[in-house]
Amino acid sequence: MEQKGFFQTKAGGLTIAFIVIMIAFAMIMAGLYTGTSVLCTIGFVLIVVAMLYSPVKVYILDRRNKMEHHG
Amino acid sequence: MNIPINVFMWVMAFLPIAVLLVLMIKFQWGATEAAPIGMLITIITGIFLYKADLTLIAAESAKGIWNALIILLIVWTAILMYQVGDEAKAFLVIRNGMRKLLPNELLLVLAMGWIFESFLQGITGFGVPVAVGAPLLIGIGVQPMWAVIIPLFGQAWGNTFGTLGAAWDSLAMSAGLAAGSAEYISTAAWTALFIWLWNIIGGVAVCWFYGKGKAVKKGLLAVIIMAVIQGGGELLLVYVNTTISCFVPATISLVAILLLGRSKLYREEWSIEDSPIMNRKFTEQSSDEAPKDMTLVQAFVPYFLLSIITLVVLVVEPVNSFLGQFKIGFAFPETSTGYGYVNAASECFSPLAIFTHASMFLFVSSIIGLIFYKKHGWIKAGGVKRVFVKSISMTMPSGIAVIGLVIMSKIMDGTGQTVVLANGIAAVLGIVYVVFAPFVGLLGTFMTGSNMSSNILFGGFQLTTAKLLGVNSSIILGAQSAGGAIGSAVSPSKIILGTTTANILGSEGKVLKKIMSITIPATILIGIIVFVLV
Repeated sequence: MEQKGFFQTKAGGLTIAFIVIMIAFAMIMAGLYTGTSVLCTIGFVLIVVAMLYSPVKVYILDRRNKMEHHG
Repeated sequence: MNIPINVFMWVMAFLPIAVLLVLMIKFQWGATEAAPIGMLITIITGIFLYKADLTLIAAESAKGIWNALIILLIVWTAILMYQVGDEAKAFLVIRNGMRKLLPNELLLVLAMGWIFESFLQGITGFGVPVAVGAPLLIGIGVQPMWAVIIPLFGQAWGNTFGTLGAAWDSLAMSAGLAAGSAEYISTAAWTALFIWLWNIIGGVAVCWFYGKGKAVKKGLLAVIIMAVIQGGGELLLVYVNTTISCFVPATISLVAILLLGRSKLYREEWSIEDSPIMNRKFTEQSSDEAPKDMTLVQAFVPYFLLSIITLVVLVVEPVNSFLGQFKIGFAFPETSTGYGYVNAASECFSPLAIFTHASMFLFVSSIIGLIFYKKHGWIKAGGVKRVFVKSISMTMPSGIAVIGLVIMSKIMDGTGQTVVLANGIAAVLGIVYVVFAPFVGLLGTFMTGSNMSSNILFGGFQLTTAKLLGVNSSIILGAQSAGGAIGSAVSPSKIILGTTTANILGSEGKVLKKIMSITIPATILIGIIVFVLV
């Protein structure tokens, strides 16, 4: 069986999501310090996207893949 | 503040919590998947109903990430500590050694799942007892799900006065209780009294889980003795010093249970073979893998170090004040919603005192423990790398869930949803509200994962409501903090710590369902007692 690389596993995906959240945190802080609301907005959107990775993967993508395999 | 407090606004504020509960309990979603959905609903209600702008939401999200990072540092270092012990097979030595000291299996479960967690809660807290306790229980043959549930019960009583009284201090601060005043002492005493009740319930519950009525009968004396030492000791000590009122009795109970293991009633080998919480297959399979030359004391080295370092840093004043001066924190500007709900500016929001933080104690203890085990040859070649790789793989899923939950609570708080929730309850229920006072505390801890945060969030509200209703505020505040302590057993962010180290991540819903069957009736009981008393 083919061995999955770390970043292809769920833990790997969540690690990337975590890194994205940290980058978003830095962007929001920079936005708050400089009064740049665009930075805050982009940072916030990144947080939402990274947070939704797990439910989307588990309950939409994985389920769709499973259905395709069975179909 | 002009937020309209009506049924619709209240229901919408409660919606994220309700969705979180339904997804986790009814649909068995893991917290990593459920928390982002709760967070998303909070954002939508915050923007469209509570008139928050994106800058406010972004600022509250950033505060949430920062607070979550402070919690996660503890999770990550607690997992590192677990991986160090696991790699050296120290848990097998602990299991075998404790089994010899405590041949009665029920007493062993009580010691490893309740008493040791109480000791850890007394000094560290922040979920460490759950993260550390779950693998220890698995090591003595408890099934993973129960190995998470039992420490959650075991640590809960110590949440208000544990961590050297951090949550109690926050209650006193938010309710404006001057240290040493009659109101301060009276509130501390009521809090300790309610917590004592929960302490007894927790001990009996562990016996019940182990073997229903037969185990309760066998373990009742031990539970009574331990509860008198812990809950009774705490009640006495709050009159002397609230900082050590949990730690001292928790430590005494640790010694007492080992002595109890030598008593006539508990010194013989005793177990319930078909106990629903024990994994007999695991115990038999792995008993020979323990390193032969490792003693029980050597297996406990990282935990002894943790206790010593924590005590020295937190209790020795010159050490504490020197190390406590190194703080990291961020400034946040003032934000407000369209309803005029203001979040005050902060020059240094929630500063992290890096050298006096529990994560530092865990990290240092883990690294010294790693060196100690390696020096004795209990960690083989490649073991050090394995410890760190496994730690990182194990931490990320819980990290995302904790971040989601804390962001959710921060946005709820920052947009005024929490205030609407609390005010709505008080306005509708009137004097009957006092029955629900402990539930408010429980809800606060459920949302934030911390008895301390619950007390900060709702301490002032509970005091105001008590005064509005003309009832004894000490009793209401006691119920708030006791409910907050009980809430630490059902808090998803604490449950995740256990499911992570027990390697059953995703089972949070099942764990929550089991725990709620005890915590809800216990909270109702305290609520009824409060109603009768006021």
